[in-house]
This record gives sequence, C-alpha cells and structure tokens, in this order.
Amino acid sequence: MARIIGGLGSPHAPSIGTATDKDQEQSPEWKPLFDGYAPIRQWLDVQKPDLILMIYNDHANTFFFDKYPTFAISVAAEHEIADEGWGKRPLEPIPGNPQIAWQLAHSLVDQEFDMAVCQEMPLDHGCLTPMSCFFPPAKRWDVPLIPICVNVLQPPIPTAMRCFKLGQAIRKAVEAMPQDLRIVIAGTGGLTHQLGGERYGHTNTEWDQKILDLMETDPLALANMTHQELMERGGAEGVEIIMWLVMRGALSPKVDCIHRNYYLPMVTGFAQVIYEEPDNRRRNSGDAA
Amino acid sequence: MSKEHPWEDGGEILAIQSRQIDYTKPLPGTYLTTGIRAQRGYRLGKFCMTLMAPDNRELFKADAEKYMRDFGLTDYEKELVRSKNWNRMLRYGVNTFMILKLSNAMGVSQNHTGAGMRNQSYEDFMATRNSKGAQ
Repeated sequence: MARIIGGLGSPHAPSIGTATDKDQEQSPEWKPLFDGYAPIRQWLDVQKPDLILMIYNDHANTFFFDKYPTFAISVAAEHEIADEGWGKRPLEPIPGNPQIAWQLAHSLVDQEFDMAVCQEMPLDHGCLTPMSCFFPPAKRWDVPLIPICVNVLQPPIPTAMRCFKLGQAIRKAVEAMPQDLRIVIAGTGGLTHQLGGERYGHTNTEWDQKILDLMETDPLALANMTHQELMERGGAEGVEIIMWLVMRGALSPKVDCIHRNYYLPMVTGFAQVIYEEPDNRRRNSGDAA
Repeated sequence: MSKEHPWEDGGEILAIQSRQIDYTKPLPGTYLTTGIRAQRGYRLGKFCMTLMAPDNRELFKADAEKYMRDFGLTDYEKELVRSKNWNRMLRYGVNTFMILKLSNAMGVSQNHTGAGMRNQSYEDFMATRNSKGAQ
C-alpha cells in the first residue's frame, strides 16, 4: 500500500526563491536559512519519495476572487510557473501525478472534504519556494508533485481544526491506495508575519518557538485555536500555520522530529522541520521489516 | 476622513458574525479582505491582477492614466493608485497580494510598501530588522 513516510515544514516567502535564483544561498544573510534545508535535501536523497504532497496557498496567481476555493487539488500532469507580476522564475514546469491526484480527490470528497479539482494550476511562490529549496538544480524535478491549495487570503478561511482533519483524511486516502508509494507531505508558509497595514512587519519569535513545540507534540492545541488568536499572536499572515496543520494531521500522533531550524531575518519567522513517521524510522535503522 | 468614504479612517466594522474572527474588535493596523470590504475593492483588485501579464505591465508603465481609464477604474480608484497609499487600498478592500503586483509595476519594493504602511521611512523601518540583506 501507499504510505506517508514523513512530513516537512517550510517557509514559502518569494524572497527565498529569489535568493536561490541569484545564487545567494551561501551569502551571510541567507546561509542561516539555507543551512536549514541541507538536512531536508539529504533526507529526501536517502528516502527517495515517489511523490510530494505540497500544502500551500496561492497568492492571487492561480485564483482570483471571482472564484476562490477553500480547498483545491491539482490533477494536472504538469504545472506551469506563474508570472506573479514581476516575471517567471527560471524553473521548468513541475510534473504532477494525475492518476494519484484523481484518486486522492475522490477519496477526499468521499470523506466529505469537498475539494475544487483543478486541471490547470500554475504555481506561485507558495509552492515554488519550498520545491526549489527541497530540490537543488540537479534534482529538479525528480519527484512529482500534487499541490493542494488552502484559502488563507479571503475569509472565511477554513478553521485550524478543519485543516488538521483534512490531513487525517489525506492519510486515510493514501493508506487506501494499493500502489506501493512512499509519499512525503509538506506544510508551507509562516511562521509569524504580517504583510499589510500599519502592523506590517509584526513577528513573534516566542510564539514561533511555541508553534514548533506544539506542532510536534500537541498539534490539537494549535488546531483548537481561532484565527483571531493566531492572528493576534502571529500577524494576519501568521494564520498560514493552518497549512502546517494539514501536514501534521496526516502524520502519526507521535512523530520523530529529526530536524528543526529557525531564522528570522526580515519580516517572517522562517522555520523548517522534518517529522519522520516512527515506523519509517525503524525501517531505516533495520529494526523492523 | 470623508463621509463619502467612511472606510478611510481605518475603523470600519464589518457586519460579519464569525466564531473564528471577532469583526467587532478588528486587530489594529489590519484590514482583512472579506465581506463588503472585499466587494468594494473587487474591481481595483481585478485591475491589479491584469499586471501579471508582461504586455500589460509595459502598457501601464508607459501610460498609467490611459491604462486606468481603459480598464474603467472610477475616479476614486484612480486617485488611490496615484497616491501609492497602500493602506488606503487595503481599507478600500484590495488584498495585500494584489497590491504587491501594482506596487511592483510602480517600481516600489515590498519592504518599501511595508515602510509606507507603517508610516515610517524605509531606513527607519529597516533599522528595526535583524538582517537587511535577506529580502
């Protein structure tokens, strides 16, 4: 059967993608962030997943407010690079997996998560930044991607608990698939930041660290919070951690946090994590078949 | 603040009941794109979206007034664009990520919009940051 072998957490700020494209990953300002991707790249190299499920939000590039889905899944065979208003990033289109994506869409709707199903989903920084950080140039694009979009732009946005439950439904859907697939799920965005209004630049390192503690050990405490509470602490865009909760919901109650990094250079608390599934960990170390 | 545009003072209370967000007590300095606000800002947001096309960006940069007229912005909306006052656009109902397409086409970086929204000079804003190079 298919299974989820682990979860990744990553920021998705466009400036990170620009740093990659300008070969600034090792500059003094960016090194503390990209050092946090080294263990993720290494882990992906070893694990060789068959598929990435990327939980992200579009930033008014694939979707406009004429129609704005709460949850959307791409069944596209290939994903174009979006021009967000300042030119496309120099990246090749990223392959999808229509067969698995359609199966996933069916399973999720069967479980009463009514996804908008998209045959075209040009990708913006919400998805491209983590992808280009997970996979350096030589590895692009060895692993196909199924992007799953969450509305965090135009309230009403889904509750934190709903997002956690979506993750649980994704896990059920994956485990019902007969194919022998090793799947990684990634939650993106955050952590604390605000990009509009007089409160622009609001960050909260103490809360960022608490988010990372709770995400690992007590995600329901986060899932039970309201958007108001998340925004008060973490800024309006700090609510993006609900996408990490989708990832966390797809994992076992107890995970092995084998990597955690934090860096706050400018206006966003950037965090990366690797949560490995305990049974995958045992397989790695040869303790179990 | 004008009576004609009562949202301009930033104190607008959206008539929405939600378990998730208390719209009677808006977060200071925060303008969520929803409800009547999102409705009001829809056309200007749509205008910003046109700037995703490189040809349109060129047309806008070459003659912003003509571009705004051809799109059919109202006089108030044109004035908002000219003002480069991003908070006014947020209060009107344009989403942050749409505004960034406009500000970029007007040659203003994200952190310059941020400094402006905080009513600070760019230098004063940058002095509050940990690492100026990572942007």
